[in-house]
Amino acid sequence: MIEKERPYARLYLVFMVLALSFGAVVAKLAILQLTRTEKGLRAYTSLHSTDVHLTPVRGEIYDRRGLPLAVNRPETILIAEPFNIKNRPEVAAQLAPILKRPAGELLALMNDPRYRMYCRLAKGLDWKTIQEVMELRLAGLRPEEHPQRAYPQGSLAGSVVGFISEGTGVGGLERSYDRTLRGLPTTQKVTAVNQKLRMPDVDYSSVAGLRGADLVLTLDGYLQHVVEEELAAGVAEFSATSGTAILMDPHNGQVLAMAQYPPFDPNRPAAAPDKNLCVSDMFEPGSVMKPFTFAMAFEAGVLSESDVIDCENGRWRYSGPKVITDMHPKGRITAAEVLSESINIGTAKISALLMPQGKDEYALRDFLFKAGFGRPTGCGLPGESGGALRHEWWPIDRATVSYGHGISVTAMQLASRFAAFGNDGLIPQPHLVLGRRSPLTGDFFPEELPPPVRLVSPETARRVLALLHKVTLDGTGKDLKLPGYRFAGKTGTALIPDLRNGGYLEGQYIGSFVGFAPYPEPRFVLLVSLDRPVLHYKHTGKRNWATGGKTAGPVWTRMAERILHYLGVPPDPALLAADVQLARRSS
Amino acid sequence: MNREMRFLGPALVILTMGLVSFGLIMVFSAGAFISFDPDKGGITLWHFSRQLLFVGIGMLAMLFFANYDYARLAQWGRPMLFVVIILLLLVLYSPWGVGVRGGRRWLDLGPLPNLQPSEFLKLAVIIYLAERWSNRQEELRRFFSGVLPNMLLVGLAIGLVLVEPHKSATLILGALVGAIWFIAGGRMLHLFVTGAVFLAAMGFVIANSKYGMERITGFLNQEETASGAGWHATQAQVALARGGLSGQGLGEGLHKVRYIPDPHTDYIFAVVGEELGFLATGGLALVFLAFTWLGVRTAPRRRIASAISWRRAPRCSWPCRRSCT
Repeated sequence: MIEKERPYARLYLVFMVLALSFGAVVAKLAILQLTRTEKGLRAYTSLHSTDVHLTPVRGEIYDRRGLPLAVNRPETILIAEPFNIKNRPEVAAQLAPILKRPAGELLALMNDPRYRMYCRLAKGLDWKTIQEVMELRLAGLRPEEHPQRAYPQGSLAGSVVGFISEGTGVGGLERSYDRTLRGLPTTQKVTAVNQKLRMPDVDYSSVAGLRGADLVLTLDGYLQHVVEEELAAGVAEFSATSGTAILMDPHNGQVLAMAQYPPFDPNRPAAAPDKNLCVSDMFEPGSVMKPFTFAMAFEAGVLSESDVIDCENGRWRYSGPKVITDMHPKGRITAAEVLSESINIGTAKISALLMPQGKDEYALRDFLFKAGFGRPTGCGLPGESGGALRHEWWPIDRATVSYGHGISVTAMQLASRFAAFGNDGLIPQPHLVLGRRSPLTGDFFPEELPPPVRLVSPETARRVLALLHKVTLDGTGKDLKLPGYRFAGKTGTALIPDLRNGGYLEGQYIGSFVGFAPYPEPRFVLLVSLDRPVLHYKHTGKRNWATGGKTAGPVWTRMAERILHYLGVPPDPALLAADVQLARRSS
Repeated sequence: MNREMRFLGPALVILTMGLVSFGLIMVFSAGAFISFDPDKGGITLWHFSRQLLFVGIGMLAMLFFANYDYARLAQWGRPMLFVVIILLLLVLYSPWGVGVRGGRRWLDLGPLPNLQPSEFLKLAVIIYLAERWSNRQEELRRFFSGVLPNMLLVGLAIGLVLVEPHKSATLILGALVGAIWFIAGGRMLHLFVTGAVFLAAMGFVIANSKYGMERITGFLNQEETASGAGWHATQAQVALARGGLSGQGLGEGLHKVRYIPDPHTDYIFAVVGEELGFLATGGLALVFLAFTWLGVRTAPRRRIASAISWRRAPRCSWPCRRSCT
């Protein structure tokens, strides 16, 4: 049937040519597909995928009882994808009444070439507004939730909590614990996003494993409130320029409250300086340092409470032209009275007692360094100052430092070192963070702390504490009343250095009171310090000698009373009755 | 030969069905992403459903022609050629012509899909020339009085395609005419001279057109033009290379998403290569070669068939094209 003719030979020839070209195609395919390595392709394929940086949800901050101090409050913002919107003027006109923004403004936003793919039309929207927008059924619009930091307690503990900016802590614990709170940032590869396809929204719950840990603070919200409230009232009463207060458990260094005036509201970080005065401001403490001099002397065994010391009637030529004076001159009094009456000359003499024993005159300096003055406490707040304690001492320094001048401390240093007298001589590590809590599992990881540092023996600590109690009985603090409780403390009225002219400012003081309550088993140590308080006598209106005992002292007792009630410390019935009788008699 | 007859028919059907099925799968994969439209409820599968429609039409046509003596097509050669020439004129000079991307190649048929007459021209030229030269072999010996009149007629139609401009179709039509002429027994001198004139003319046109030269320089200097004129070609090659031996897996292709244009038509081979690898692309080439071989073996069964089978083989390059035309 098939005729073997020549034309078919031509047909097969054409087929051969075709087969050869197919072979060439297959060969080229083999070269393309089998010899090119992935590495050689990277230059091209890098165009195909993008890394999306996922910011994990920030950990939250709570007080010791679970009161939220810093939380994430999702904020809803309306996103437009202008390249997906055909009729932008109409969309803008429809949105304007709902978003309460002029249509022209919205249109300008959507027409901005920078925001072609992603344009934030409005933020901070409630769900009702979002629903209204979505009911318009417009293409290219969608709501997006962004976590937003909020501080529900306002300025309560604001300077401790701090604040964030652009997702990074810039003040307070938000800053120093930024790495804990921030969580692990991750990148996710997103490949090949088509123009019509949106990049999938990041579901924050799915990246919760990367969420930052929550912080649980040692602060107690109520105590913080009490301390802040009384401090503000005290600052107002005595027209002080600023004030600080620290409430601490002397047995473990937990800071129960830390207040400052003026307060700081992290919700409005620009409204006030975010400096934490308790750790960043240093001041010459004055008489509140005297117990440390006594502790050193007790510990060295060169002093007993009943030793009689000549206080030179208020004027003592120390060396050359240097003269030490006292406001309330005394003659020969016991060592216990030196502290309770806060006599500078007596204290300076006590600081010299160690010298005949072969100790050099740097004994006090070494003792204070051992106590941790001159370096930050490491309480966990950023910007902490170490105070100023010089290594090179003039002979006069031993005398002045013994009563708290020529040395600068921070409130945090003072309160935590003072705590040793109520903690059997051990300086606790002050801290503000109880621990971290995993938001996923609820596991709690307590803060790891260095062990307490022994300053003096328990016996010495008790002796100092007894002297401090005496201050409140018949010393500079005898006018302070804490009905139903015994307490111990030290007043301080410190001169303020004149940084411009040298020397000290005339008539301006820092009034402080540091004390323990109840005595003899203290539940807390509390420091109150007022900067430049002014005392007006009600009947004359005259400015008066505003000592720490008369300014910071009453603020201290008002705080202490509320704190003791809150802590549930029962008052001593006998004391209470006596106090009531006293009050009746005086009225 | 009867034994081969029994083999040829089923083999042709099986290969066709296999290619059509494979084409459907790949069009689904290649078009799934670009047809995704959130405004229309997300997944639309527009390209796949259209392909399915064309497959249906193609099946009906296949059933019809399976029972049709294709020798009877011969009488339709000349009328078809004239109709197509009219259609080409309509494309160029009537308001129904539709231009896309710098070429006026389609006829707007209202609700129906747009029509590309140059595709029908291929069929018409094959049938016309095959009939002409099967029945009048003597014409092939004389050039001016024998070949030239046919050439002028066909050349007029092909010229209209070139004016559109549609240079690739012009080249394919030229090759088609050359192959039929050669198989029909044309004289080598005529073939060479005509071929030389044709290629020279095409060279002149390409050299003077903007995109034509860009394509060629892009082909020659791929690395340099990778981000410009050679972008698509480079991306297609990257897609192929990414496939490797066994591919990324069906549906796993990346380049169909954005990096190559028209992944469901012109660049579908790149998608096949990326998703199924060299095993599929090489295999597909072999299948097409086998398909061509079946055409060659079928051709001698009737005189005209020797030419007609060419209609199938070289232009059935990619599965989707088959059912589109």
